[in-house]
Amino acid sequence: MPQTVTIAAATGHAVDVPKGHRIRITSPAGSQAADFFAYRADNLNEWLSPMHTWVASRSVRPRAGDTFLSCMRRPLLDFVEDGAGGIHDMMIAACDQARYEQFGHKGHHRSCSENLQIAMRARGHEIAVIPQPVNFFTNTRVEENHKLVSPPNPVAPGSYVVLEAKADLICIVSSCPFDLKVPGWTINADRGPSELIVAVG
Amino acid sequence: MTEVVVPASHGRAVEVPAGRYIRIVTPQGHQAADFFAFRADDPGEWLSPMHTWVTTRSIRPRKGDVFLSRYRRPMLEFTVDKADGIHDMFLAACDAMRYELLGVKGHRSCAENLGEVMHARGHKLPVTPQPVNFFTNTKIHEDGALRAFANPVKPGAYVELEAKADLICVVSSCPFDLNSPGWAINGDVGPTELVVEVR
Repeated sequence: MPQTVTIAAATGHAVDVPKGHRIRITSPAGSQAADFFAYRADNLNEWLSPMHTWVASRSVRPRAGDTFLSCMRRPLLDFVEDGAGGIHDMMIAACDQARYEQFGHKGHHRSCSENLQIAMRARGHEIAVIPQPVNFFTNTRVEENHKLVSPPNPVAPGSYVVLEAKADLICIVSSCPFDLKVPGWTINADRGPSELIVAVG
Repeated sequence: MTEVVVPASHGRAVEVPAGRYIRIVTPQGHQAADFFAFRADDPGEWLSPMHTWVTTRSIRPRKGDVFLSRYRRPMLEFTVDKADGIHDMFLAACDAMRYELLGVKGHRSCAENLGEVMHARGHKLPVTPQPVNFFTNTKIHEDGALRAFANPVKPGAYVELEAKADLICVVSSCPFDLNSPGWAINGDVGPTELVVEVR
């Protein structure tokens, strides 16, 4: 039976994805970045690593058909279906309290790093190193002059991705809480963060 | 001034106090220098390319850029670039698994070089951080394709960085010497030594 979880705007959640099962992540309202982390259930020191993935796939943007590798270069997930037109990123570090302070925010701000830590703490795991995430539904591009740009998020309502686990995994999805107005650095929709739906089956 | 020769395919660690400069030279050219930096007072805080480029908004390090730690604090400023911008921050440090996937067992690697020199100082690293790869010729195309081209870095080319905190810096002469079509890292002559100066 598929298990469906609604991830409230700006929060995160961890789900078990056994080997051979699929995880579908949907942005019902569209334009909502989904920071995605994956750990081997039998060894939390082995996590999904974009830097090891793109050396093998030779693409810094994940594409349907690519396999996400761990920091030990082993297959963790296949990207089996892309219902978001290829609008995905693997370059942006997970936002954290320091990121919001960099932009002048005062006081606590929710972040994808904190969402990961809260979701894993609920399972009894303390996360000391925030892995580099895969950011589904996130619109970045590297220009000819090596500039990293983040134009407005064009992901349509109902867009989704489907991944198939190649090992028993714990997967964490965070609805990115980024809601600051930073010129030239758009992450989510103008109206702010929105919920994500995660289905495992 | 302290000068350390990094033998071909090996690594060396040096201490770089705040305000001092580290210069990395490729005497013969074409030699990738994998670079890692840790705060001396907390080796759990290391240089992070992914936190750096969201601030500099350039995936290639450029003279004037400041490299940030994974806590987004300044680690080093890139003060001199005598290698014409031929630097990378995308390639994960090579490791034993990388070479095994390419069919070679027991090959030296930048990850092993880093682990060895930090272990010699009494530090056990929980992870191999993403390095800055000086003298490494990659390009990202607009469609996201990642390519590594023949290494054009000239003999004697160097970079110089100013420490913004007391640091332990590790430089690895990348041992990559395999013939992997469309994936050039070092020169055709194979790995060569690097020279590190702290001034």
